[in-house]
Amino acid sequence: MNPFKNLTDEKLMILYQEDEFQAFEVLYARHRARVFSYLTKRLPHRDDIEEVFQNIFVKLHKSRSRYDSKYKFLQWLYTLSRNELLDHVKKKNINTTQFNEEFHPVEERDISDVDLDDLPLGEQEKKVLDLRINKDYDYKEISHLLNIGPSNARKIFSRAIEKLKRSLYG
Amino acid sequence: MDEFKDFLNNESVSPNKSLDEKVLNHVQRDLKITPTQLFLKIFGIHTIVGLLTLLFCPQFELSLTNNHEVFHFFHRTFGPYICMMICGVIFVGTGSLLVGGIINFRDLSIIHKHPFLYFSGITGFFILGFIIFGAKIYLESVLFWALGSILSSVIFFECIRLIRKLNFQK
Repeated sequence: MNPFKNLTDEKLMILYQEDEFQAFEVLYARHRARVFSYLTKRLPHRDDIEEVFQNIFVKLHKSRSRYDSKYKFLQWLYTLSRNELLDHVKKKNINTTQFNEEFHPVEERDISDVDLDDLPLGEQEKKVLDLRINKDYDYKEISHLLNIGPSNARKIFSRAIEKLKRSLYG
Repeated sequence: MDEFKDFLNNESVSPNKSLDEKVLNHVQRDLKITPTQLFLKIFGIHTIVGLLTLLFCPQFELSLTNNHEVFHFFHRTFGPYICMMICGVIFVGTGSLLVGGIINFRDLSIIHKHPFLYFSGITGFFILGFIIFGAKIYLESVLFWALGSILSSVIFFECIRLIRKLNFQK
């Protein structure tokens, strides 16, 4: 039986920082499904999911000394997972349209801070982006508002995301 | 924010067993320390502390400063055997205090499993070292020295370990 199984994540991280493997075992058992589910929703291929999953825990292991137990472990793990996912998407140049439509990690990256007027997007693309992301409308509602078909709204949105990605990442 | 909520609440998919093993094995391999490595680590700490104590407390007539006042005081006050025990406590026991205070939790738990083995080994190596450096060693005196060294080391180490453990659980 693992003696650390009742400790909080933050306490476990302190032990893990002191090279205690059993502390990592508990943390891993607690959060493996969470990280895996997060990736499964966002990446289309099993190989990619497994690669990013491994990378996340390797990164967690390498950067464990940088964790400050003042902060919530889950928040740290989430940031790590998200950054690793984004890095993977960027590196492999995975098309965002391959993702589940509800979860575009690229589109959610600081989008609220981006001034849409500064972006090289057409008027309709800006409108669709604004309605979809800032106002959280679905494609049916967008198509109704802009008097276009739902599939067309989806295409415009994907194109806008592509442009936005190129503009953010170069 | 929604993405983080999703990360927290979604644990629907788990990685397969082989992926679990890959991650766990990677971390375990990296955190592993062999008994020899650990022994050398604590032997190093003991050697530094032991040499420092030679500045004021000679061992088997070996001294770095030719200062024999402490030795004469113990010899006069407690007799030859207790004096030898105290010498063992000063030379090895103080090192154990430092060992217990600075090594990480993983190493603490490894030594905790076999404290007599580790500190008997340390004591044995030091006696060998004294013989090599030409100390005047007699069986009776060395037995009392070893007794003081091993017992104090185990007691000091376990006390410090307990304090650190209680402090951690707060």
